Amino acid sequence: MKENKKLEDKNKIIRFTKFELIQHLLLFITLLMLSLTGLSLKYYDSAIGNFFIDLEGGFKNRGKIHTIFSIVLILLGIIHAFYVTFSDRGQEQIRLLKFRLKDFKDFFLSLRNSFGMSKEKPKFEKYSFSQKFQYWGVIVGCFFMILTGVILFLKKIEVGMLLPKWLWDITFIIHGAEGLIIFIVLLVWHLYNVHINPEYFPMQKTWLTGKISEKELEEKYPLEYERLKDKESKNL
Amino acid sequence: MEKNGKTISLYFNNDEFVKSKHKDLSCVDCHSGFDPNNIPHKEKIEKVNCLSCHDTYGLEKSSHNKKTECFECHNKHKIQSAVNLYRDIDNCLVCHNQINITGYKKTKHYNVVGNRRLVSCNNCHGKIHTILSKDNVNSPVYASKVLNLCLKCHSVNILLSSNEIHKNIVSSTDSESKKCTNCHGAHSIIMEKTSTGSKGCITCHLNKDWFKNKFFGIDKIPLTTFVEQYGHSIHAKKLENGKESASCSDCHGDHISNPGLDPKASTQRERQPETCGKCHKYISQEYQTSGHGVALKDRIKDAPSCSDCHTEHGIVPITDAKSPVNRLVEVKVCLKCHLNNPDVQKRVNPSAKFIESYEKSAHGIAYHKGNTKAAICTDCHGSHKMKKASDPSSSVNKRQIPGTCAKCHNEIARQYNESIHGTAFQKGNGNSPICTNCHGEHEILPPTDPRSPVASENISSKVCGICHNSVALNSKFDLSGKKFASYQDSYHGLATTSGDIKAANCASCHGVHNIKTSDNPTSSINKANLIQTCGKCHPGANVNFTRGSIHVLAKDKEEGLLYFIATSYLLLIVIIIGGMFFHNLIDFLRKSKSKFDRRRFQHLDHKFGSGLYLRMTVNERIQHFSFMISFIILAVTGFMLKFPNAWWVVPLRNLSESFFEIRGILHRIAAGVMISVSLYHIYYVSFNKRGKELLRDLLPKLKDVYDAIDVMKYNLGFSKSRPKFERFSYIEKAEYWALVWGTVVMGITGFMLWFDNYFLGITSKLMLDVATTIHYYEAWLATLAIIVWHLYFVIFNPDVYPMNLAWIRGTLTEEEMYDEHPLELERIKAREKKDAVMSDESLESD
Repeated sequence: MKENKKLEDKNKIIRFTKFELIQHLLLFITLLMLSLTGLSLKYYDSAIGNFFIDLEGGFKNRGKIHTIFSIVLILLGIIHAFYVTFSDRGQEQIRLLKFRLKDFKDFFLSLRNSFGMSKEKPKFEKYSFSQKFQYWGVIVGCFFMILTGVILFLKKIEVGMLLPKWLWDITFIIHGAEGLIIFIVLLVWHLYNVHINPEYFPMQKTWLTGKISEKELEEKYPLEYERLKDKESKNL
Repeated sequence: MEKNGKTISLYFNNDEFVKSKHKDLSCVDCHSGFDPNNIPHKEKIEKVNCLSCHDTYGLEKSSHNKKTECFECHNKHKIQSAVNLYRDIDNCLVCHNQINITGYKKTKHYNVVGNRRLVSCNNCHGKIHTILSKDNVNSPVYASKVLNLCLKCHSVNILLSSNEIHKNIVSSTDSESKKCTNCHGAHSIIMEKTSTGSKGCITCHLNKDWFKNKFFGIDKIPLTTFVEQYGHSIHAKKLENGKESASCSDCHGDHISNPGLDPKASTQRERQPETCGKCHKYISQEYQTSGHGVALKDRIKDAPSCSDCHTEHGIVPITDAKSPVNRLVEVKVCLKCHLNNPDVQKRVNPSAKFIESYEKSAHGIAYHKGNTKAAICTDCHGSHKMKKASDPSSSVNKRQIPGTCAKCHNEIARQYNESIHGTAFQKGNGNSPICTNCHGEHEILPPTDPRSPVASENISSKVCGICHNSVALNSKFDLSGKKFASYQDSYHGLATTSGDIKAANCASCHGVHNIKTSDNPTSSINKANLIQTCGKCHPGANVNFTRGSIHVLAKDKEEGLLYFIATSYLLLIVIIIGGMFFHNLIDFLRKSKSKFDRRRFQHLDHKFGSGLYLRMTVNERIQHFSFMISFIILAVTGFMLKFPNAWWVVPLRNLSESFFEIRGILHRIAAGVMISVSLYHIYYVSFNKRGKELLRDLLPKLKDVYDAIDVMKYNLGFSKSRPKFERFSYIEKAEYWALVWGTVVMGITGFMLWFDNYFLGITSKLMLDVATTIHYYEAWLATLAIIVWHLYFVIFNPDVYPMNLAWIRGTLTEEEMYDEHPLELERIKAREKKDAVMSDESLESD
């Protein structure tokens, strides 16, 4: 049995490194906690909001948890920025994540395919348009949340007094609405792709193992597969 | 002349002598053997023997006999006639000069009427010459005769109107018994007051032997002890004229006095206001219009009279620490009835808890600490003036409260009177809050106490919001209804809700007692004062800081920019999320389709045949479909009724006013469909061949129990093989019979609720309530069972995900049959084989 497993592992290709997995896991926990603590405040007058506030140990703890995880998120952002700027692998991932014209073509092709108008499926590199969208969505969303969050936090210190009241009001609204959007996007887009999606149901395990089978790679990310094969043959 | 060697004068006043009865007599007529011309007179003057001329008139029988000389009454030279002597009683008093007898001179009896005393000595004691000691049975003042003696002049009515006990004692012929004189005194008769001072009452009432320590009333105090208390009371204090300020008879009456519990007694509880009011006129008047006074008048049980608070004999001033209504202890007196007497509690509105809450209030705590200025019951309610709060003249009536509180809190009252609330109140606005509306009544707590309604964490939501978030009041006074909502949604509001007491509440900006409208230049929220007001918490706040409106509600169109941002985001959410949802929905359907296709047609490993196995006939599928649709409609429309404010119901409700009517109709139509399907199903399983088979296959068997255990073992990893199921697994059987049970229960209770009036008539309200409760909880049970059990097995079960399509297509693939119903598959295959053999055989035989 064990040998079998090893054999299987040999056929698997590393999609995410351990460090990336840890980043994802931290981001996952952080965003979950921030959403729960944030949305329970936004909907403090609803039964669900109340339930979560109680779960979080009351209003005061809720705030503390939110602040702690926002600091984690900021640190995570800084680490990630360093990672994609200075590490070789990080730079490579960013290059692969950049939007290209092909992504738009892929998007429409996949729509046509879904509607059954075309039998052709788009061929993806390492990251599909939907994954790229997710990545940049998270980056932009987190950036806005951190920015507005920090402004709201300034209120607690004197510097904030120099800003006009309407700015508070706007920041407050943006932080709440943006947070809601990110939360729903994660539910509808991200959770769909890794859980509800009939291809992966009940779950795609890559976020835990970091690996993908050769067969799956060939099927889902043919361009990357080809690229890796080319590289392999060149090396040989 | 000389007598015993001393020179004495024998001078007598001739003027008096010539006026006397003996003026015609010469000296020697009386002084026999006396020579007036022998000067100086000889030493010895013979004793005058009056009896030589006068009769004794029975003098020898009297007490005066041999003790008293004639001249002691009649004088020596200034002899008066008997008539004159009677007039001038002073002669008796020369000898009878004891203080108790001379007291006579102060009495009404001593008054002169016409040319004589009203009552002279002889009027009572009889003729002077035959006068007898009061201890002599023949004396007219002998104990047993005194009553008759007094009644000679005094009306018998006095006796008749006196209380029974006194009447009996006085009328008794027993020499030991008490007489008029025992109370009034013999000589120094007192008319207006008989009291302890006059010893009239206490001779008996403080005589322990006399009363043998009888018990009195409910207090179980020996009577003498009870009476003794009077001695320490303020009423026993002597006035300038030497009399008590209030003596026994002042309260108890004189002859009429009756025991306190006697309804005729002046000291009886119901008559106390009148009796005490003789002296305490204004207090009595106040009391009689008070709640207590009215209750007493209405003969309400336990309504307090004067003595219930002030005690009876031992009344001391309320400034005295011993007084039960002294400031330090007064509360106990009130609570004696208002907290501890269930009858009183039942009758008066406030609950015991409400009254008791005073003890925990700022007032009560200060009071218990011994602060004599702390407000006690009477400070607010008044003591004698106490009236129910509903009475407009009551000190705790809404109109009077600010004045009542101002007695102590005068600076606050001044601020309040200038505030918008105060001015509105003074104009007669009944909705304007007064002290108690915010602070509470008995349970007033300091604002630092988190339980106080005016504590930082409570004031906005529990005090200000009550009125300012009220649609009725906001529309009545044309106030903006969004102020409170905008506060609640603001940072200040959220922080306060979170229990942050430093965050601004309504009062932080608007002030507390001095709340004023923003156009008032002295208002803390006047534009000119805003920087200062905000600066209290935000040091360094400048003009910038106050730019923008204060109460902002992003949902409000008037907010311009904020409204635009908020609405844009909503739009963004709808577009982005809607787009994503749509994209993924299509994706989901497409991927599902390809998965189904693979399952059906692409048997890659060729392990299974491509045969399809009938699971549900068209008839059964229609039954299932109708049941499913009616179930969903029933669940949705049912929970709508129970949760009309749920997020998914509100928008539907807003569609039309008759929406809920339609909901009810839909619910009933769906119920009709479900019952029809159920009835048809009963017919189906009873008479249809396939139906009977279905029912037979669905009957629970012992194997099902083992199967359930084995599945659990397999899933937990204790066993490597999964049990094999027949046509219906224990899961499906459980589902089927649960559905039967649920439909029966929901059908019966639903039917009762549908025709509620009819069933109310033939059963009871309780039964209908039982039906409502069952219908509701069974609904939850059924819905959750469908989601957790049924939807799991046909959708979320990873083996069949995204869905088991048997309910649409009616068939299962061989792979599905092998996975889920292997025994049935074996059975079918065996039969097919047999059939094939049979047909082969028949062919062969042919």
